[in-house]
Amino acid sequence: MMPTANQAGAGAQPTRWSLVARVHEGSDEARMEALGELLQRYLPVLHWYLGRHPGLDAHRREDLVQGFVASKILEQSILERADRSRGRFRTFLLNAFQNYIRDEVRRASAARRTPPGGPPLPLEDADGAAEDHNSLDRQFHQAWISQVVAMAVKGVEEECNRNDRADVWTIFQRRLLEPMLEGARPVPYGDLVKALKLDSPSQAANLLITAKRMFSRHLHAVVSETVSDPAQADAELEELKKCL
Amino acid sequence: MNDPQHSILDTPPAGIRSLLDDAAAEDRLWSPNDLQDVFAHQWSAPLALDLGGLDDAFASRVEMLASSKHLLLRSFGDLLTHDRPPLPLLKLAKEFAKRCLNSPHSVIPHDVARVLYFASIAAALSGCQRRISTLDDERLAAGLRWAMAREWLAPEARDVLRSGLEALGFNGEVS
Repeated sequence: MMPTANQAGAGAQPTRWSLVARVHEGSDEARMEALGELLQRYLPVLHWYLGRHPGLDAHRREDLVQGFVASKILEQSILERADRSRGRFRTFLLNAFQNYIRDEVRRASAARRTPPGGPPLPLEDADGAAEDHNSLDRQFHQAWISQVVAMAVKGVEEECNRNDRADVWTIFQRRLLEPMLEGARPVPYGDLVKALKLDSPSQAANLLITAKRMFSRHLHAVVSETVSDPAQADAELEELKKCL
Repeated sequence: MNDPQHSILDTPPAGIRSLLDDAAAEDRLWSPNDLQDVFAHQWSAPLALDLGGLDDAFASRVEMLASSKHLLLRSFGDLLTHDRPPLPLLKLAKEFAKRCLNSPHSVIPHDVARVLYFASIAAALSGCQRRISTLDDERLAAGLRWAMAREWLAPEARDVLRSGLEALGFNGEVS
Protein backbone atom coordinates (compact mmCIF):
# COMPACT_ATOMS: atom_id res chain seq x y z
CA MET A 1 0.00 0.00 0.00
CA MET A 2 1.20 3.44 -0.86
CA PRO A 3 2.37 5.33 2.21
CA THR A 4 0.67 8.57 2.97
CA ALA A 5 2.60 11.78 2.64
CA ASN A 6 2.90 12.04 6.39
CA GLN A 7 4.22 8.54 6.71
CA ALA A 8 6.73 9.00 3.98
CA GLY A 9 7.78 12.59 4.09
CA ALA A 10 7.44 15.59 6.33
CA GLY A 11 7.32 14.80 10.01
CA ALA A 12 9.06 11.46 9.74
CA GLN A 13 12.32 10.75 11.53
CA PRO A 14 15.33 11.37 9.30
CA THR A 15 16.05 8.07 7.63
CA ARG A 16 18.36 6.84 4.97
CA TRP A 17 16.61 5.48 1.95
CA SER A 18 13.62 4.99 4.17
CA LEU A 19 11.89 2.84 1.60
CA VAL A 20 14.85 0.46 1.58
CA ALA A 21 15.22 0.63 5.34
CA ARG A 22 11.74 -0.78 5.79
CA VAL A 23 12.81 -3.89 3.93
CA HIS A 24 15.15 -4.69 6.83
CA GLU A 25 13.00 -3.68 9.76
CA GLY A 26 10.08 -5.20 11.66
CA SER A 27 8.43 -8.56 11.28
CA ASP A 28 9.00 -10.92 8.39
CA GLU A 29 5.58 -10.02 7.08
CA ALA A 30 6.29 -6.30 7.24
CA ARG A 31 9.66 -6.80 5.56
CA MET A 32 8.18 -8.85 2.76
CA GLU A 33 5.48 -6.27 2.24
CA ALA A 34 8.08 -3.50 2.08
CA LEU A 35 10.17 -5.50 -0.37
CA GLY A 36 7.13 -6.18 -2.51
CA GLU A 37 6.37 -2.48 -2.56
CA LEU A 38 9.90 -1.56 -3.45
CA LEU A 39 10.02 -4.06 -6.30
CA GLN A 40 6.61 -3.03 -7.57
CA ARG A 41 7.82 0.54 -7.71
CA TYR A 42 11.19 0.14 -9.35
CA LEU A 43 11.13 -3.07 -11.37
CA PRO A 44 9.29 -1.24 -14.18
CA VAL A 45 12.33 1.03 -14.49
CA LEU A 46 14.67 -1.97 -14.80
CA HIS A 47 12.40 -3.57 -17.41
CA TRP A 48 12.22 -0.30 -19.31
CA TYR A 49 16.02 0.06 -19.14
CA LEU A 50 16.63 -3.43 -20.52
CA GLY A 51 14.10 -2.78 -23.23
CA ARG A 52 16.45 -0.16 -24.63
CA HIS A 53 19.24 -2.70 -25.11
CA PRO A 54 19.40 -4.27 -28.54
CA GLY A 55 19.62 -8.02 -28.75
CA LEU A 56 17.63 -8.87 -25.66
CA ASP A 57 14.25 -10.38 -26.32
CA ALA A 58 11.37 -10.13 -23.87
CA HIS A 59 12.04 -13.54 -22.29
CA ARG A 60 15.72 -12.77 -21.78
CA ARG A 61 14.87 -9.41 -20.23
CA GLU A 62 12.39 -11.01 -17.88
CA ASP A 63 14.96 -13.66 -16.90
CA LEU A 64 17.58 -11.01 -16.19
CA VAL A 65 15.30 -8.88 -14.03
CA GLN A 66 14.01 -11.88 -12.08
CA GLY A 67 17.55 -13.20 -11.75
CA PHE A 68 18.71 -9.87 -10.37
CA VAL A 69 15.94 -9.89 -7.78
CA ALA A 70 16.54 -13.50 -6.76
CA SER A 71 20.33 -13.46 -6.77
CA LYS A 72 21.28 -9.97 -5.71
CA ILE A 73 18.37 -8.63 -3.71
CA LEU A 74 17.08 -11.77 -2.01
CA GLU A 75 20.13 -14.06 -1.76
CA GLN A 76 22.98 -11.59 -1.45
CA SER A 77 20.94 -8.90 0.27
CA ILE A 78 22.72 -6.10 -1.52
CA LEU A 79 20.23 -3.59 -0.17
CA GLU A 80 21.26 -4.48 3.36
CA ARG A 81 24.96 -4.16 2.63
CA ALA A 82 24.72 -0.90 0.73
CA ASP A 83 26.19 2.19 2.31
CA ARG A 84 23.02 4.18 2.42
CA SER A 85 24.67 7.22 3.93
CA ARG A 86 26.30 7.96 0.63
CA GLY A 87 24.76 8.60 -2.72
CA ARG A 88 21.37 8.04 -4.15
CA PHE A 89 19.32 4.91 -4.26
CA ARG A 90 18.81 5.17 -8.00
CA THR A 91 22.56 5.33 -8.66
CA PHE A 92 23.14 2.37 -6.39
CA LEU A 93 20.42 0.35 -8.10
CA LEU A 94 21.64 1.22 -11.59
CA ASN A 95 25.24 0.27 -10.79
CA ALA A 96 24.21 -2.99 -9.15
CA PHE A 97 21.92 -3.88 -12.02
CA GLN A 98 24.52 -3.02 -14.66
CA ASN A 99 27.13 -5.13 -12.89
CA TYR A 100 24.74 -8.04 -12.70
CA ILE A 101 23.80 -7.78 -16.39
CA ARG A 102 27.44 -7.52 -17.40
CA ASP A 103 28.33 -10.63 -15.41
CA GLU A 104 25.38 -12.52 -16.80
CA VAL A 105 26.17 -11.63 -20.39
CA ARG A 106 29.79 -12.65 -19.94
CA ARG A 107 28.75 -15.89 -18.31
CA ALA A 108 26.40 -16.64 -21.16
CA SER A 109 29.09 -15.85 -23.71
CA ALA A 110 31.58 -18.10 -21.97
CA ALA A 111 29.04 -20.89 -21.83
CA ARG A 112 28.64 -20.69 -25.59
CA ARG A 113 32.44 -21.15 -25.86
CA THR A 114 32.80 -18.05 -27.91
CA PRO A 115 36.32 -17.02 -28.90
CA PRO A 116 37.97 -14.16 -27.02
CA GLY A 117 36.41 -10.91 -28.06
CA GLY A 118 33.43 -12.87 -29.39
CA PRO A 119 30.04 -11.46 -30.30
CA PRO A 120 29.24 -7.90 -29.29
CA LEU A 121 27.89 -7.66 -25.81
CA PRO A 122 24.68 -5.76 -25.51
CA LEU A 123 26.01 -3.48 -22.85
CA GLU A 124 29.50 -2.53 -23.75
CA ASP A 125 31.83 -3.97 -26.36
CA ALA A 126 30.53 -2.24 -29.46
CA ASP A 127 32.10 0.84 -31.03
CA GLY A 128 30.96 3.99 -29.36
CA ALA A 129 30.21 1.98 -26.27
CA ALA A 130 30.94 4.84 -23.92
CA GLU A 131 28.54 7.11 -25.72
CA ASP A 132 25.85 4.42 -25.80
CA HIS A 133 26.51 3.69 -22.18
CA ASN A 134 26.05 7.32 -21.18
CA SER A 135 22.92 7.55 -23.27
CA LEU A 136 21.50 4.45 -21.61
CA ASP A 137 22.37 5.77 -18.17
CA ARG A 138 20.59 8.98 -19.00
CA GLN A 139 17.57 7.05 -20.19
CA PHE A 140 17.60 5.06 -16.97
CA HIS A 141 17.46 8.25 -14.95
CA GLN A 142 14.70 9.59 -17.23
CA ALA A 143 12.73 6.40 -16.65
CA TRP A 144 13.40 6.76 -12.95
CA ILE A 145 11.90 10.22 -12.70
CA SER A 146 8.99 9.10 -14.86
CA GLN A 147 8.35 6.33 -12.38
CA VAL A 148 8.66 8.78 -9.48
CA VAL A 149 6.09 11.00 -11.18
CA ALA A 150 3.83 7.98 -11.76
CA MET A 151 4.00 7.14 -8.06
CA ALA A 152 3.21 10.72 -7.07
CA VAL A 153 0.24 10.71 -9.45
CA LYS A 154 -0.92 7.45 -7.91
CA GLY A 155 -0.61 9.07 -4.49
CA VAL A 156 -2.80 11.96 -5.60
CA GLU A 157 -5.40 9.58 -6.99
CA GLU A 158 -5.46 7.51 -3.82
CA GLU A 159 -5.70 10.56 -1.59
CA CYS A 160 -8.56 11.92 -3.68
CA ASN A 161 -10.37 8.57 -3.50
CA ARG A 162 -9.79 8.33 0.23
CA ASN A 163 -11.17 11.80 0.85
CA ASP A 164 -13.99 11.64 -1.69
CA ARG A 165 -12.44 14.40 -3.80
CA ALA A 166 -13.30 13.25 -7.29
CA ASP A 167 -13.50 16.92 -8.26
CA VAL A 168 -9.82 17.52 -7.48
CA TRP A 169 -8.72 14.36 -9.28
CA THR A 170 -10.84 15.09 -12.35
CA ILE A 171 -9.51 18.61 -12.70
CA PHE A 172 -5.95 17.38 -12.15
CA GLN A 173 -6.42 14.85 -14.94
CA ARG A 174 -8.23 17.06 -17.42
CA ARG A 175 -6.27 20.26 -16.91
CA LEU A 176 -2.76 18.98 -16.20
CA LEU A 177 -2.06 15.27 -16.64
CA GLU A 178 -3.68 14.65 -19.99
CA PRO A 179 -2.50 17.90 -21.62
CA MET A 180 1.07 17.47 -20.40
CA LEU A 181 1.47 13.73 -20.87
CA GLU A 182 -0.74 13.04 -23.85
CA GLY A 183 -0.86 16.38 -25.61
CA ALA A 184 -4.61 16.57 -25.06
CA ARG A 185 -6.40 19.90 -25.17
CA PRO A 186 -7.10 21.17 -21.64
CA VAL A 187 -10.81 20.85 -20.92
CA PRO A 188 -12.24 24.40 -20.61
CA TYR A 189 -13.07 25.43 -17.08
CA GLY A 190 -16.63 26.13 -18.19
CA ASP A 191 -17.09 22.46 -19.13
CA LEU A 192 -15.61 21.34 -15.84
CA VAL A 193 -17.89 23.67 -13.90
CA LYS A 194 -20.88 22.01 -15.54
CA ALA A 195 -19.59 18.47 -15.23
CA LEU A 196 -18.60 18.82 -11.58
CA LYS A 197 -21.46 21.15 -10.63
CA LEU A 198 -19.08 23.83 -9.36
CA ASP A 199 -20.01 27.41 -8.59
CA SER A 200 -17.61 29.13 -10.97
CA PRO A 201 -14.53 28.74 -13.19
CA SER A 202 -12.54 30.40 -10.42
CA GLN A 203 -13.53 27.57 -8.11
CA ALA A 204 -12.32 25.11 -10.72
CA ALA A 205 -9.00 26.97 -10.94
CA ASN A 206 -8.65 26.85 -7.16
CA LEU A 207 -9.22 23.10 -7.22
CA LEU A 208 -6.40 22.77 -9.72
CA ILE A 209 -4.11 24.63 -7.35
CA THR A 210 -5.17 22.23 -4.59
CA ALA A 211 -4.32 19.31 -6.88
CA LYS A 212 -0.94 20.79 -7.75
CA ARG A 213 -0.06 21.19 -4.10
CA MET A 214 -1.17 17.64 -3.42
CA PHE A 215 0.98 16.39 -6.30
CA SER A 216 4.02 18.36 -5.12
CA ARG A 217 3.62 16.93 -1.62
CA HIS A 218 3.47 13.36 -2.92
CA LEU A 219 6.37 13.97 -5.28
CA HIS A 220 8.49 15.24 -2.43
CA ALA A 221 7.51 12.27 -0.26
CA VAL A 222 8.42 9.73 -2.94
CA VAL A 223 11.77 11.35 -3.67
CA SER A 224 12.52 11.68 0.06
CA GLU A 225 12.43 7.92 0.41
CA THR A 226 15.28 7.42 -2.02
CA VAL A 227 17.87 9.89 -0.72
CA SER A 228 20.12 9.62 2.29
CA ASP A 229 18.45 12.57 3.97
CA PRO A 230 14.93 13.87 3.31
CA ALA A 231 16.40 17.38 3.22
CA GLN A 232 18.11 16.38 -0.02
CA ALA A 233 14.82 15.68 -1.77
CA ASP A 234 14.61 19.06 -3.49
CA ALA A 235 18.17 18.79 -4.75
CA GLU A 236 17.52 15.25 -5.96
CA LEU A 237 14.44 16.40 -7.81
CA GLU A 238 16.36 19.20 -9.49
CA GLU A 239 19.09 16.73 -10.44
CA LEU A 240 16.52 14.39 -11.95
CA LYS A 241 14.92 17.20 -13.94
CA LYS A 242 18.28 17.86 -15.58
CA CYS A 243 18.01 14.42 -17.16
CA LEU A 244 14.81 15.38 -18.94
CA MET B 1 -6.22 8.29 -19.33
CA ASN B 2 -7.36 5.03 -17.76
CA ASP B 3 -4.10 4.08 -16.12
CA PRO B 4 -1.77 7.05 -15.73
CA GLN B 5 0.92 5.02 -13.98
CA HIS B 6 1.47 2.75 -16.96
CA SER B 7 1.50 5.46 -19.60
CA ILE B 8 3.81 7.85 -17.76
CA LEU B 9 6.88 5.64 -18.20
CA ASP B 10 6.51 5.89 -21.97
CA THR B 11 5.84 9.62 -21.97
CA PRO B 12 8.56 11.64 -23.76
CA PRO B 13 10.87 13.43 -21.29
CA ALA B 14 9.59 16.81 -22.46
CA GLY B 15 6.10 15.87 -21.28
CA ILE B 16 7.35 14.90 -17.84
CA ARG B 17 9.33 18.12 -17.69
CA SER B 18 6.25 20.17 -18.59
CA LEU B 19 4.20 18.42 -15.96
CA LEU B 20 6.78 19.08 -13.25
CA ASP B 21 7.25 22.70 -14.26
CA ASP B 22 3.56 23.43 -14.53
CA ALA B 23 2.70 21.63 -11.32
CA ALA B 24 5.29 23.75 -9.51
CA ALA B 25 3.74 26.94 -10.86
CA GLU B 26 0.85 28.07 -8.74
CA ASP B 27 -0.14 30.95 -10.94
CA ARG B 28 -3.16 30.32 -13.07
CA LEU B 29 -2.49 30.09 -16.71
CA TRP B 30 -5.74 31.20 -18.26
CA SER B 31 -6.42 30.46 -21.87
CA PRO B 32 -8.77 32.77 -23.82
CA ASN B 33 -11.49 30.14 -23.46
CA ASP B 34 -10.96 30.09 -19.69
CA LEU B 35 -11.17 33.88 -19.52
CA GLN B 36 -14.32 33.81 -21.61
CA ASP B 37 -15.86 31.34 -19.15
CA VAL B 38 -14.78 33.33 -16.11
CA PHE B 39 -15.99 36.60 -17.59
CA ALA B 40 -19.35 35.12 -18.56
CA HIS B 41 -19.70 33.80 -15.04
CA GLN B 42 -18.77 37.13 -13.47
CA TRP B 43 -21.05 39.04 -15.84
CA SER B 44 -24.01 37.05 -14.57
CA ALA B 45 -22.80 36.80 -10.95
CA PRO B 46 -25.16 38.19 -8.27
CA LEU B 47 -24.19 41.72 -7.38
CA ALA B 48 -25.13 41.28 -3.75
CA LEU B 49 -22.69 38.41 -3.34
CA ASP B 50 -19.57 40.17 -4.64
CA LEU B 51 -20.27 43.79 -3.87
CA GLY B 52 -21.88 43.07 -0.53
CA GLY B 53 -18.75 41.17 0.39
CA LEU B 54 -16.60 44.26 0.13
CA ASP B 55 -17.74 45.44 3.51
CA ASP B 56 -20.52 44.42 5.89
CA ALA B 57 -21.96 47.87 5.76
CA PHE B 58 -22.20 47.69 1.98
CA ALA B 59 -24.33 44.56 1.93
CA SER B 60 -27.63 46.17 2.84
CA ARG B 61 -26.84 49.24 0.74
CA VAL B 62 -26.15 47.12 -2.32
CA GLU B 63 -29.38 45.26 -1.82
CA MET B 64 -31.31 48.48 -1.46
CA LEU B 65 -29.72 50.11 -4.50
CA ALA B 66 -30.06 47.04 -6.66
CA SER B 67 -33.75 46.65 -5.96
CA SER B 68 -34.72 50.31 -5.81
CA LYS B 69 -37.07 51.76 -8.37
CA HIS B 70 -37.80 48.26 -9.57
CA LEU B 71 -34.40 48.10 -11.22
CA LEU B 72 -33.87 44.49 -10.18
CA LEU B 73 -30.19 44.59 -10.88
CA ARG B 74 -29.34 41.02 -10.19
CA SER B 75 -25.97 40.83 -11.87
CA PHE B 76 -22.98 42.81 -13.09
CA GLY B 77 -24.39 42.48 -16.59
CA ASP B 78 -27.73 43.93 -15.47
CA LEU B 79 -25.97 46.86 -13.84
CA LEU B 80 -23.49 47.66 -16.58
CA THR B 81 -25.98 47.46 -19.44
CA HIS B 82 -28.79 49.34 -17.71
CA ASP B 83 -29.92 52.60 -19.36
CA ARG B 84 -29.70 54.54 -16.11
CA PRO B 85 -27.60 52.55 -13.64
CA PRO B 86 -27.34 53.75 -10.02
CA LEU B 87 -24.05 55.61 -9.73
CA PRO B 88 -23.28 54.33 -6.21
CA LEU B 89 -23.52 50.76 -7.46
CA LEU B 90 -21.17 51.51 -10.35
CA LYS B 91 -18.69 52.95 -7.86
CA LEU B 92 -18.97 49.78 -5.78
CA ALA B 93 -18.49 47.63 -8.88
CA LYS B 94 -15.38 49.65 -9.77
CA GLU B 95 -14.11 49.29 -6.19
CA PHE B 96 -14.71 45.55 -6.28
CA ALA B 97 -12.75 45.21 -9.54
CA LYS B 98 -9.95 47.39 -8.18
CA ARG B 99 -9.62 45.24 -5.07
CA CYS B 100 -9.45 42.13 -7.23
CA LEU B 101 -6.71 43.77 -9.27
CA ASN B 102 -4.70 44.62 -6.19
CA SER B 103 -5.08 41.27 -4.46
CA PRO B 104 -2.70 38.40 -5.19
CA HIS B 105 -5.39 36.09 -3.84
CA SER B 106 -8.15 37.37 -6.05
CA VAL B 107 -10.57 34.72 -7.22
CA ILE B 108 -10.94 36.57 -10.51
CA PRO B 109 -8.17 36.69 -13.12
CA HIS B 110 -6.64 40.14 -13.30
CA ASP B 111 -7.60 40.68 -16.94
CA VAL B 112 -11.25 39.99 -16.14
CA ALA B 113 -11.12 42.33 -13.15
CA ARG B 114 -9.50 45.03 -15.30
CA VAL B 115 -12.29 44.78 -17.87
CA LEU B 116 -14.93 45.06 -15.13
CA TYR B 117 -13.06 48.07 -13.78
CA PHE B 118 -13.16 49.93 -17.09
CA ALA B 119 -16.69 48.75 -17.87
CA SER B 120 -17.91 50.29 -14.59
CA ILE B 121 -16.28 53.60 -15.51
CA ALA B 122 -17.69 53.40 -19.04
CA ALA B 123 -21.21 52.71 -17.76
CA ALA B 124 -20.99 55.76 -15.48
CA LEU B 125 -19.81 57.91 -18.38
CA SER B 126 -22.49 56.84 -20.80
CA GLY B 127 -25.40 56.01 -18.45
CA CYS B 128 -24.96 58.69 -15.80
CA GLN B 129 -22.81 61.25 -17.63
CA ARG B 130 -20.53 61.13 -14.63
CA ARG B 131 -16.83 60.35 -14.26
CA ILE B 132 -15.95 57.97 -11.43
CA SER B 133 -12.26 57.78 -12.27
CA THR B 134 -9.37 60.17 -11.75
CA LEU B 135 -7.66 58.98 -14.93
CA ASP B 136 -7.35 61.64 -17.63
CA ASP B 137 -9.16 61.19 -20.94
CA GLU B 138 -6.20 59.74 -22.82
CA ARG B 139 -5.38 57.15 -20.19
CA LEU B 140 -9.02 56.28 -19.76
CA ALA B 141 -9.46 55.84 -23.50
CA ALA B 142 -6.37 53.66 -23.64
CA GLY B 143 -7.78 51.46 -20.88
CA LEU B 144 -11.18 51.20 -22.57
CA ARG B 145 -9.56 50.28 -25.88
CA TRP B 146 -7.38 47.68 -24.16
CA ALA B 147 -10.50 46.13 -22.62
CA MET B 148 -12.39 46.19 -25.92
CA ALA B 149 -9.54 44.38 -27.62
CA ARG B 150 -9.84 41.28 -25.37
CA GLU B 151 -10.73 38.48 -27.74
CA TRP B 152 -12.72 36.65 -25.09
CA LEU B 153 -14.97 39.62 -24.33
CA ALA B 154 -18.75 39.23 -24.66
CA PRO B 155 -20.34 41.54 -27.28
CA GLU B 156 -22.59 43.27 -24.73
CA ALA B 157 -19.58 44.14 -22.59
CA ARG B 158 -17.77 45.51 -25.64
CA ASP B 159 -20.81 47.70 -26.34
CA VAL B 160 -20.60 49.14 -22.82
CA LEU B 161 -16.94 49.97 -23.27
CA ARG B 162 -17.58 51.49 -26.71
CA SER B 163 -20.31 53.72 -25.29
CA GLY B 164 -17.90 54.94 -22.65
CA LEU B 165 -15.27 55.71 -25.24
CA GLU B 166 -17.78 57.65 -27.32
CA ALA B 167 -18.99 59.54 -24.26
CA LEU B 168 -15.41 60.73 -23.84
CA GLY B 169 -15.50 62.02 -27.41
CA PHE B 170 -13.32 59.31 -28.93
CA ASN B 171 -14.03 57.09 -31.86
CA GLY B 172 -15.59 53.90 -30.52
CA GLU B 173 -13.41 51.61 -32.59
CA VAL B 174 -10.34 49.79 -31.37
CA SER B 175 -7.40 51.15 -33.35
